[in-house]
Amino acid sequence: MTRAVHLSGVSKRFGATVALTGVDLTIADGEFIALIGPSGCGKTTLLRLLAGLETPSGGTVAIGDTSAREARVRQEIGIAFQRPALVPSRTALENVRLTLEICTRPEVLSPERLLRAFGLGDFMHYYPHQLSGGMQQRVNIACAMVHHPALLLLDEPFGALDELTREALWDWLAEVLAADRQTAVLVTHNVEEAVTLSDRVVVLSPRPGRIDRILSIDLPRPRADRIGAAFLAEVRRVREALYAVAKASTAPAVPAKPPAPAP
Amino acid sequence: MISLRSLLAYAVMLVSIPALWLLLVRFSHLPAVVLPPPDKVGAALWRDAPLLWDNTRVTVFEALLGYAWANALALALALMYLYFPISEAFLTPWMVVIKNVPFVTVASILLITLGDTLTPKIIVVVLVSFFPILANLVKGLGAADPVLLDRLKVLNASRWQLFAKVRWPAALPYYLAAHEIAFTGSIIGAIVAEWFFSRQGLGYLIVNATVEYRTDRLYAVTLIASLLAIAAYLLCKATEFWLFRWKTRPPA
Repeated sequence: MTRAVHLSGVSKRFGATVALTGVDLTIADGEFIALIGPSGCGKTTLLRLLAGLETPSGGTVAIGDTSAREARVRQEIGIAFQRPALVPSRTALENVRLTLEICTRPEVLSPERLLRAFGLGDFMHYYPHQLSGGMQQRVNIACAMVHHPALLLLDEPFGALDELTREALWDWLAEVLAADRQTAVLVTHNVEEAVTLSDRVVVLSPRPGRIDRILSIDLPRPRADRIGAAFLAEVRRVREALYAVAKASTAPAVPAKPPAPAP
Repeated sequence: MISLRSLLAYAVMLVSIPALWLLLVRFSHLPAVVLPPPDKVGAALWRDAPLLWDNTRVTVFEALLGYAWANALALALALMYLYFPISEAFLTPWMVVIKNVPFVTVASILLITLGDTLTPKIIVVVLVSFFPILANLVKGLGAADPVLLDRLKVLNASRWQLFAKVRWPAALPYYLAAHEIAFTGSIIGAIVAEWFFSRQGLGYLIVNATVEYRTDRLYAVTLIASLLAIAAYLLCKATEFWLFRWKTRPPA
């Protein structure tokens, strides 16, 4: 399997604050990676480095055979945020077309066909305010995928949706990405979401942000049965890793009690 | 959006004005030279139509020219603030001073300096209408959705593409809101400028009619000036309704 993304010794500082340090990670072509960790562990910073929206303070970020910045210039990245990035005065179809108005890549998908494949065939001429939250998010993801990017970045795309819509969209996205062997990186706070969608879960620890451990999710796809023993065992494994990281990060730097004086 | 209720409210107002006017004339017992009846004002409108038309054209021309300058300057400055933020810090004190010098005194200074020419009138119109446009443009251009900007930056959108596809659509509601105040204000500004230094225009006719105790003409000019300002306001509302028709359009 070819290498889609490679991060080597990546660090990022904002003034005196170290947001990320010593991040080494390789993502294979067609692989789905979830970034999970407590607040302030640098998940979004890592995603912005992959998007070429930030430059690393140290180390290298490579997308395919080029830097993240160059990959951005070549329009090889698509991104979907938690809040749908849609223009209110454009219909769903016009919003997807907006990506192609910017993009000059030759191999792009048909916006109409993509929206139909996303179950929005009857809603492509609706304006964002006429769509439900789940539909808006599907349009948002269509906007990020229509130019056929080498790397799809998802920043908590389902975080603002209700439980049932969210679960339906997990299964929908897993199916969409599997059909296309799309390389993707997802930032999430939701353990079930990470287990449903990803091949590997990268657990980050905070202050400074770094990779604590990487867990492979060896469950057969599709993973729609989220109350089965195997799924719950994986959820438990990821949650335990997350708790361990959270516990370590909240442990006081100095002992709570002063050491007893020597007799 | 103009609702049926607001249309009805306008209709009631249009009927009420002449009715109240007639009642006031009938029961106040004021002489016609102080409060002319509507028919006398109507006669003045008919009799002085060529004079009123010529002077209205002058006022409208000055208002539109001044307004165009105000828009061009406000847009240029708002763009400079957006792309060179340091300029805002340096120019804001100047703006505060210019905005707060009473424009009546500025007008007098302009009269002495430039005399009865077009330039001082245009400057007065610009002073009246420039600031609301600048304030709303700055706010509107800054109100662009940062998430949408990031989405397009990831696609390596150019500065122009970010402006045309995200910043300008975001600024449009603010820009149109400014027009509602500033476009009407430009007509009032032109009349005030003529009132100060002019031998033509509606402002000049006001001074002339006041001096000559021609209240019928004074009321006729008031009527025309009001209609111009209302027309400017309604034009802004119609443009807003047309540009944002997508908000009320039913699902396709």
